[in-house]
Formats: sequence, structure tokens, C-alpha cells
Amino acid sequence: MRITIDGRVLETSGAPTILDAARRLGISIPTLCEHRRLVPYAACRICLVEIAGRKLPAPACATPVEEGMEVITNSPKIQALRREVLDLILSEHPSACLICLEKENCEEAKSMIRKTGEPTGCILCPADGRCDLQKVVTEVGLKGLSHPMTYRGSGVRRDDPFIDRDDGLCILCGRCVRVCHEIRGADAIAFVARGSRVTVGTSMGKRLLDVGCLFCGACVDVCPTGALTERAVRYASKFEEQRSFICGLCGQGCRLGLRLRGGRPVDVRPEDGSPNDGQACVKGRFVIGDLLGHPKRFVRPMVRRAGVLVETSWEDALAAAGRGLAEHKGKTAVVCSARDSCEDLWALGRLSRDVLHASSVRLAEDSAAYLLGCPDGAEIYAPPMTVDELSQARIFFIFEESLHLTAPIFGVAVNQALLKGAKLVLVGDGEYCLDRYAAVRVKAGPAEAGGFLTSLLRVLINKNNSHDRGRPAGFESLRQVLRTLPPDSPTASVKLDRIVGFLEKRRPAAFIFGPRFVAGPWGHRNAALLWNLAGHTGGLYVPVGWEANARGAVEIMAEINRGAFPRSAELNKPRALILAGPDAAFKRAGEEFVVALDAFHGDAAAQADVVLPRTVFAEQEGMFVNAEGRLQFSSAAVTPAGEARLIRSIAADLARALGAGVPALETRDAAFKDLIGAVPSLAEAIRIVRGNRPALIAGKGFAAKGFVDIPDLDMTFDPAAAFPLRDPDDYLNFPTALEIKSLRTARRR
Amino acid sequence: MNRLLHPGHLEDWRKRLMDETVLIRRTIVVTAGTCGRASGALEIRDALRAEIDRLGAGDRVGLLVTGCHGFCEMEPSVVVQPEGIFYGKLKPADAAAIVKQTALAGKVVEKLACKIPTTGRVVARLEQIPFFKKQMRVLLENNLRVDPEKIEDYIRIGGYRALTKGLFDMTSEGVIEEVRRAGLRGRGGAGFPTAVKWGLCRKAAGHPKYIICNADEGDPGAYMDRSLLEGNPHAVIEGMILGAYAMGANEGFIYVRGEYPLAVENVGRAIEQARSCGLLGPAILGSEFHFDLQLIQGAGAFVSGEETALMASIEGRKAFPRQRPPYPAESGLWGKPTNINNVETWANVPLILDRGSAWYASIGTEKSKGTKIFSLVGRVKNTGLVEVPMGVTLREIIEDIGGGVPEGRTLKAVQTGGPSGGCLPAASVDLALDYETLAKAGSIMGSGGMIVLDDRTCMVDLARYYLHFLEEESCGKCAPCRVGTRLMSELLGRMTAGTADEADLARLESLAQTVKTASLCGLGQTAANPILSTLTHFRSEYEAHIREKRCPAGVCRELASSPDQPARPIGRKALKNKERGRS
Repeated sequence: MRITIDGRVLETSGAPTILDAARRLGISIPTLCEHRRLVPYAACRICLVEIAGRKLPAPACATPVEEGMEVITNSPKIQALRREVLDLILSEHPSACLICLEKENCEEAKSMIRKTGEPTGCILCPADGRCDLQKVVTEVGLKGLSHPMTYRGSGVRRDDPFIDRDDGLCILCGRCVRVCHEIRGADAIAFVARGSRVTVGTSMGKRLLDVGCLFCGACVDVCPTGALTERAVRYASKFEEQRSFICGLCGQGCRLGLRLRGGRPVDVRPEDGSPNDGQACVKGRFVIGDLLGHPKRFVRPMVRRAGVLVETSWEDALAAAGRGLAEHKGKTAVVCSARDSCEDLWALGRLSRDVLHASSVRLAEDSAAYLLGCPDGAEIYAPPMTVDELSQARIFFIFEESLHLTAPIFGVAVNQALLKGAKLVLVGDGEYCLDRYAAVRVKAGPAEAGGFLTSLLRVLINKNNSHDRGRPAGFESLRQVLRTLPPDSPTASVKLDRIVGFLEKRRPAAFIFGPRFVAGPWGHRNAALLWNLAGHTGGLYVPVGWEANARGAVEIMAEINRGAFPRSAELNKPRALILAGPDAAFKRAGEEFVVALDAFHGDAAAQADVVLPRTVFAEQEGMFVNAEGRLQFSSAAVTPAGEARLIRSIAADLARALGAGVPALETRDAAFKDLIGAVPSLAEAIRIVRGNRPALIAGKGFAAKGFVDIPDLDMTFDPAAAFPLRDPDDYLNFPTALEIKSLRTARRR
Repeated sequence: MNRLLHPGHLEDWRKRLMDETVLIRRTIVVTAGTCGRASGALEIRDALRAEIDRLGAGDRVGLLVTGCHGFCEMEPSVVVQPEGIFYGKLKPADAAAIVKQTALAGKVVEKLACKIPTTGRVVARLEQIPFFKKQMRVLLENNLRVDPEKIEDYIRIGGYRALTKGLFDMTSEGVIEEVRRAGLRGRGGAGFPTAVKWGLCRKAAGHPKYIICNADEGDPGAYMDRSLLEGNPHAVIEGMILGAYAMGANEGFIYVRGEYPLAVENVGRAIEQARSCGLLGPAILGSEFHFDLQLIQGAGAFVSGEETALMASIEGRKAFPRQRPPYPAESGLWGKPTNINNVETWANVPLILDRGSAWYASIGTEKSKGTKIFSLVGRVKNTGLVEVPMGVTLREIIEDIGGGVPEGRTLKAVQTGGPSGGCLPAASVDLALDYETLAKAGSIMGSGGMIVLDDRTCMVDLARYYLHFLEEESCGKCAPCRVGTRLMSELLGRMTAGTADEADLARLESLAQTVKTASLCGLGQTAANPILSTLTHFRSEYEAHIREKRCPAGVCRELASSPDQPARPIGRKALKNKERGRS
């Protein structure tokens, strides 16, 4: 296609808008309501351009180019029209400062008078300096205002956590409403009322808490003015630099940008690119600043003296730890965390295996989601899948998971698909964020869901009988097994017809589940059934790990544990413990010596003999494997709080204190090289990352896409001995998690 | 109810229905549309029924309750058929005379009949009454013949005959070609050739396709669509089935504004009846074509009449319009090709197919074919719905049909096209009513609203009224319309209150241009029309308000003055002074 913009010719393919074409030519057209992630809206009328042969000017953002189109973006007529439209917009937006004669003098005195209840001009506005409207005023060249000012707002609304809303600053561009609907699918806010009284609001004027808002902050991020702001940093939003890091608060591995002023965090914004592509969630968006500098952080090592933990120096604490651990060499257990980077886990694992000869090294969290059908072997890991693949699915099965809380970015992908007409089958006995979108709701907990899955699989396999050529391995034996399994549960089978109907019309399917669904004695069977269902329908098998590095940790732990430990009952009773993973339920039982590597004051650390302050995710560089299986590298965005050290430094320090030959894993490069040399699955993924594809960790044992045996219920499973299933928000005893939990309770009301 | 599995079944049924009525000598038609019911038509109906029962004349005298016939000024009224004897402004007590003398004996009750005001001559028959004499009622006449609650009545007068013809004797392209030859243009206001629109939708890639009937009639003082839907809903349904057949759509929607409860009731019932007869649903009349209709109720927004807003509303979203292109024919409801036409357009389709495009094209002017229903209201003696062939002059409508402005008054202007339209000054009463002429004169045909204004109307106040309406009804999506209508309404308010100055007039004019050029949808783009057209023809009135603080028509309360006093604001301001003096 060939079009002319301001006399310049552009050859283009596809059907871009005039705005896209102009940008390609480097021609700037001012915009306000346009946002590159959102469907064109054409409401602000700032981007109007002239098109030869059309009576009325057209908005560049929403007008597709046509062959031979001649566009003029900057004729005096258009410029005058833009000024007039902007004049109209500003008559409803506090704009005293734009035309003030004292503007320049004011700049100097600004810091003194900025805070105010209701802004009347830019100088009093939290968005001053980063406001799109200010930019457009400059670009359009508006000099004066000709209409009387109308204040639309009635003060700043603060009924909700995290977000301040000031209708007086709102220009009704609709970006927040659209992002809430088009991207997040929360539909918490919408336009209310009509004509000059229209505002952005909620159903019946309720609080955001009561209308299904998940406080993802996407609306704040797209707001072009100061109408929506983050309360905590309302007047502190001018930052000096932005540093990228990988969020460690759940398994999604969102790339976030920490904004800093004078080296201290101001706020956090989601960054572009996979996996989160500009989206975040309530945790990543609003609480990381609090977390990093929280008053409950350990900033100095502590040692128990006369029964009381007292602060001391690193030398002292390490010496104490060294003495204690040396006594129980070979009888020490180590608890790691799947939230730590691969390098840190590897360093701690090597310390445990090669120096301490630990009796056991395990993860604090349940990693069952990534293991399949192997109660003890841990030999089969789920294959990778990407967010993009997930958003292509046309029917979703979600088991026992409030996806928007435990895996917000998967939640976004599911929303995108639901908006395009995908269907959702929600299985679980609780209440979930996605309840209101479910086409079929099966009330069955992890224990009962096995019956439902068996019935579904049986119906599908029997239906497919006649024309199913090239059956994958294990088909016949699977059918045999299905015959022997108990009959269908009557409650679930009522809905089976409908679900089977969906599955026949809609492919691919996605089966999404979290640790809760595969924990307990029925866990391995549930996982095996799901895997077989996914295999049979050609669907996606999507385990949702709750921890930042759950996938990586599973691989590393398998390598560390590979035949290295004598597992006699006597040795399994450890005398000393290194607690590097969070364990809110930890009760000291017979251990003589406990070293805690912790970041926040909490119950576990309070029982330790030595507490070594450790860094948290934004303070350390390292590699994380997210829930997709994607290898990502995070850099350190801030310096560690106080004297906190990285886990791998602490591991090296402890090795030195024990007087052992230190594996030189202190630097990131050394730890990384050693790790890659030892764990082939990671090495394989790294090899691929050097190409263009994302680095995805390959699942082991799934290459054949065959069926797996359905194991019997694991009757040896002892719930008391199993690790308690932790809350996904329980980050290192992270205090602000309490606030998020209360939010969730409020929402379920 | 009969389920019609074959076109022959329909004809058999029609024949049976026609035979049934042979015994009835005369029928009393009670017109009970919304307007009739408001003035007591149902009481008249009850009185007539009681009287017929009392005389035991049920086998000789029929009683038919229909929709509105258009002469709203005279409601409640009855027509005694077949003579067409018309009685208006009735009271229940008149029932005895009507049944005994007219229905049974065929005599005219003189004291109830219309009289020509100038001569006092009695005119009893419809075709003699000036209001009806000049009209050409091809659509509205059926309102007098059909009980909207009964599909049988519609079938008896030849209903669904056009459908049989379309489905079994013509191809889809043939139907479009017939509509093209008839020269039918959209009756919603813009006058876009219907066949072209249908052709675009037919050719558009994408499946399924949808068709919509826009019955969200929101112009103040206009109620053509309401009368058609209330009085003869099957005509609209038949038109839509034909349109769906022509375009290859299998699903349609009738979007009726929620403030029309009777229309909602009648259309809903009509859809049910058509469905149970096999005229809607799978295999219509045994053909391979299937089509079904859904009734959607609007929730009271003027802007929902804008096609893209209406579609958003059907989809369950807030009625915000969106930028066109893409036009609905390419991407409409749920992104699929969609055709949307006005009630009157759909109602014309069966007529064209039944009587032929040549007949239809013979009515009207060269470019505007067929008849058009106007709702004639305002300062005119006979208000009501008038159906005239395209090309008649305003004078014919106002003076011959409407009886002219009240005694002692002079015609000042005619407002056509509702809030989107404009005012035509008295000097242009000889203009022919067709799409092009009206547009050239600075107004639009619109959906058919026609408000007659005499010298007691203040044009500034009129513009203020419309702008206030638009300010309230703007959806608020795009900035020029949302802010612009409010500011223009405020400025006009100041003018009528006597607080405006010359600069305000200039500001009003420039605002009007901005809103017109920059707005997103038709509502905003035409929102300035009431101002621009009154400024063109009645600028002096604006100047009188601003410079002399005087309202020439004596309407604006705060500027009212007596002839012997120099112009001085009284009204609210004077009252305030008075109160202050007292206290």
C-alpha cells in the first residue's frame, strides 16, 4: 500500500493506522487517549488529521490507511482545531499553571508548596513533569485558555488501598477503563453517568475492594495525568534512574523496573517484554518498596547469648555458626528456598553436600507441581510452555487456583483468551477470582477431582475409539486402567456432557493447576490424570509454581541429591539445621543448633541460635527459572539493606568458618559456571538462549508425549510429616503480605 | 396457531380469514396507540363494546382496536368502516349514538363529526377531511386495518405475501435489485440508498451476519416509529425477514427504546406469533432460509440511536459510539458484518416487493422516492402523523394538512430533523420536502420530526432547549462534544438570561464550528445545527438578546418587558430586588 503523509510517501503492508504510518515516517502527531497496548478509542480528538477527499478530519489513531490516501497532519487548520479541542479539554482540567506568568519563578519555590488536597494547577499535581497532557500542550502550542474553568472532581478519593483517585484531574481518555477490560479482564471500573457528568467509577459507586479489583495497578500505569496515583509515593514520583530486576514474589518472573532517587527506591513499574509485557500485580506494583526497606529487615547478624538474640559482627556470627555446625558435621539438615536464584541454591547445595555432608537437603516449599507421577523419583518434570501459547488456548481448565493472585500473568493471558471467546471450566471447592467467568463450575476439591478427571478421560477415550489412529504409547494400558478405576462421581458427571462438547469444538485446551491440587495422597494421581488428559486432547499442561525459581530449584535439588546421601533413619534425624527457606510453621524439635539465613524478623528466626541477614530478590543478581520454564537473569537493582549478604557469599563464609576447602562459588560467574557444568538441563537451555528463542528449560521424560501410568493413591503419605503448604504470599515472612491477605478476604466477601 | 410449512398454507389461511369476516357489515375502529390511550381510547372501546352487547349486535358490528392512525389532535377517535366515517374527541357517552346510528344504520352523527372551521360544513368521511385529504397513506393506512395483537389481521390484508414472493420467486440479489429500482433511501435521516447498504453487507466477508432495526427513536416530538411498531409490527418483521434473506443474515435484533412500553409489548408479541407460525425460526415457510429476531430494550439514552452506540448497547456495553470506518457493513455487532436500518425503512420493504418497484418509484421526486411520515407538531392546528409523498412542499403540510398556525399568529419557522436538524424560516415554506432540498436549505430530513414555530417562539430559547437536551444526552466519550455542548448550553443560557455580551456570541460561533468538525459521532457533529441554522436566519434575535437585553418573542422570562417600559430585566432579578426591599 502506498500512502502520502505531509507530502512524504510510505510503502506499507498490512493495515496500520495513520498514526502508525506517521510514526514510521518520524512524523509526530500528538495523542492523549491512544495507548499502544489498547484498541484505538478516538475520544480525545487531539490526533485529528486531514485526509484528502473527506469532509471531516479523522483521528489518526483509529483510521486505517487506505491505498493512495493523502494525509496532512499539520495544516494551519488542523493545528487550530487541535488547539481548540485542547482548550476544551483543559476547561475541565486544573490548568492554572499552564498559562501562569510566574511559571518560571515558581519552579524554584516548588518544593515548598507541592502537597495539597486538591490540585488546582500543575505545580500542585502529583503527575507534574510526567504528565502526557503537559507534553501535548507544549506540542500543540496552546498559549491561552478561552473557556471558563469547571472543576469536575470533588476531592481526592481514598476509600481504597494503594490507589488515590482524583476525578478533577481526569480527562476521560478511558485508558484505565480499557486496560482494566481489555488487558486485565477485571472490569472493576467503567464509565458511569452520561454527558458532562460522566466519570470513571465503579458499579453503584462501591469501593474498588468490593467490585473485584485486584489492585494490579495497570490503571495507574496508563493514566496520562495525575488522576490515578500510587498513594505511598504520590508526591515522590520524580526519580533519577530506573533499574531492571526480576520480581521474586511469585513464580511468574515479571521484569520490573525499580525507580530510584539517591539510590533509594521510589516506586516500581512493570517493564516491557516477555513474560509480563508491561503488566504487574498488586505485589510487584505496590509493595516492593515497602519490602526492601521494611523495619523488620535483619540488617546485622545476630547470635544467641544467654538465651537472647543479640546483634553482633559478621566475624563473630560466622565463628559461632562454624563452631556449632562443626560439631554436627554429617548430621546437619539444610532447608533451601525455591525463591532463591539458581546460583545461590547451587552454592548452598554444594556447601551442604561437599562440606557439611548434610543428612538431607530439601526445599521448604512443595515442588510437586513440576514433578509427575513419581512419588520419590522426581525424574519427570513438566515441559515448558509460554504465556503466548497460553493465551492461544480456547478452553481452560483451572484447578484449585486463584490465578490472578498466584500467577497474575497467566491470569492476564487467560483473560485475553476469555475475551476472544474461550471457555473456562473451574474445578475446586473454594472461591476463586475467576469464578464469575466460569462457563462450568465443578465443585470438587483435590480429593474428589480425581473422580471427575477419570470420568472425563474415560468419556473422551471411549469417544475417540474408532478413528484414533497412531495412538500414542500407553494408550491401551491407560484404557485398561480406566476400566478398573472406581465409577464416576454423580455430581461431576452432570456437567460432563457440556465439557466434552466444549473440548470437541475448542482446541487447544489448557490444564492449569497449582501445588494445592497435587499435594496430599491424591497428588500424584491427579497430576498423572491431568497429564494424560493434556496428552489426549493435545492441550497444554500448565503447572503453576508459586515460587520465583520453583522450576530451577527442582532441577538443582535433584542434582544435589543424586545418590549422594546415606539415608539411614538415624541420620535422617538431624542434630543441626540450616534454615535458608521460609518456614512460618517451624518448630524446633530436638535440633541442637539452628542457623537461620533470613531477611525478616519472624517466628522461625526467633528460634535460631545464629541469624545471618540475607538479601532479597531485588538486591541480588542471578538466574531464575519462572513458571513458564523460562531462564531469566536478574541484576541487582539496589544495594543490600544494612549488612545483609547474598546466600552464596554466606555459603562461602560458612565454608571458610568450617575451615574447609572452599568451592569458589562466591562470585556470580563462578557459581554460574559450576552450576551449568553440573546440571545438564540448565546447560541445554542456556545453549538455546544464545539463539533467538527464549531460553526454556526442557521437561524431562515428556519428549514422547506419551501417557503415563496412573499411580495408586499414595497411602504412605503422612500429612503430618509433609511440609505444610505455604501461602503464596508468605514471602520470607514478608509483613506486607498480611495486607494483601486482608485484601483477598475482603474481595471474597 | 397454524404452523405454516409451505407458502400454500399461508394462502389457504388468508382465504379462510377473509371468508370469516363476510357477515360483519360494519366495523368500528378504535385507534388506541399510546396517544389514543392517553386521551381515553380504552374507555371509549369499553363503552362501545358494552353498547354493542346491549343491542346484541355483535354479529353485525365489529369492533377493532388498532394502533394510531395519525390524527392525534382528535384523540380519542373512532372510524366506522367501510364508509370511513370519522368521529374525534369522543366521550364514552357518545358510544350509544355511534353504534345505533352509524354502525347499524349507516348514518352520520352530525354533532360528533368534524366541521370545516371556516364554513362550518360537516365532513364525516376520512377522505374529505383536510387532514387526511392531502396525505398519501401507504404505510399508515394499515394501522387502521390491523389489530396489532393479531397476526391474522395482518395476514388478512395481504401480510407476508411479499415474503412468499421474495423467498420463493426471487433470489437474494433479486430482492436487493428490486429495492434498488424502487429507489428506497434510509428513513433514519441520512437518506443513504438502502440497496447500496444491503449490497455492501451482502458482499462483506465474515459470518454470521446480523441485521438490526433501529427503533430507538429519541428526537423530542417525533413518534413515527412508535406508531408503526405499535400499530403494525408485522410489517417491520416482514421487512426484516426479507432484508435478512437479501443479505444472508440469520439473526436480527429490534432495538426499541424502553420508553415505548406499548411498542415493546406489541413487537414482542408479534415476534412470538411469527415464530409459532413458522414465519421466523428454522425453515421459514418450508424454505431453506432460517432467521430469527430478538427484541432488545434500550435503557433511555438518546445516543443509542447512533448506530455504533446502539450496537455497543446490544452487546451489553455502555452506549458509546465508536469511530467509523469501519462501517457496520464491514464490522458491526461483535465485529461481524451488520446492517442497521430504521423502522420506517424496514416497513417500506414489504410494500415494495408486494406492489412492485415501479409502483414505488412512481411516488416522490426524482431522487427521493416513496412516502415519508412526518410528525407534525408545534404551533399548528392539526397535530399528528402525516404521510406524504416525497416532494410536497412545507406549505402543503402546514397549511392544507395541518390547518395552518393558530388564528392571529404568523408562521415564523419550521424545525425539521430533531436536535440534529435545523430551522427553516417562514420564507422557505415553498421548499419541496426531499433529502437534497432540505440539506441545501440548511436543515435535514431527519427521521421525520417537524415542529412548526410561530411568532411566539424565541429562537434563542429554542436553541438553548436543544443544546440543553444534547448536553444531557451526549455520551461523554469525546471531548469536543462532552465539553462543547455544555459550554454552548451555558452560553445560550446566559443569552436568554440577559447576561451575555458580544464576545459570547463570537465564542458560541467558534465553539459550534469546533464541535461540528471535531466530534466523534453524528450526535456531536450535528449538535451545533440548532445554533448554526438559527444564527443564519435569525441572527437579529440573538443580537436583540445580547445588545438590547430584549426577547422579541417575549419568551425569555428574565428579559420580559412591557411595551411602555424601556427594556429592563425583570423576572428572577426583579423578584430578588423586590424581596430585598421588603426585608
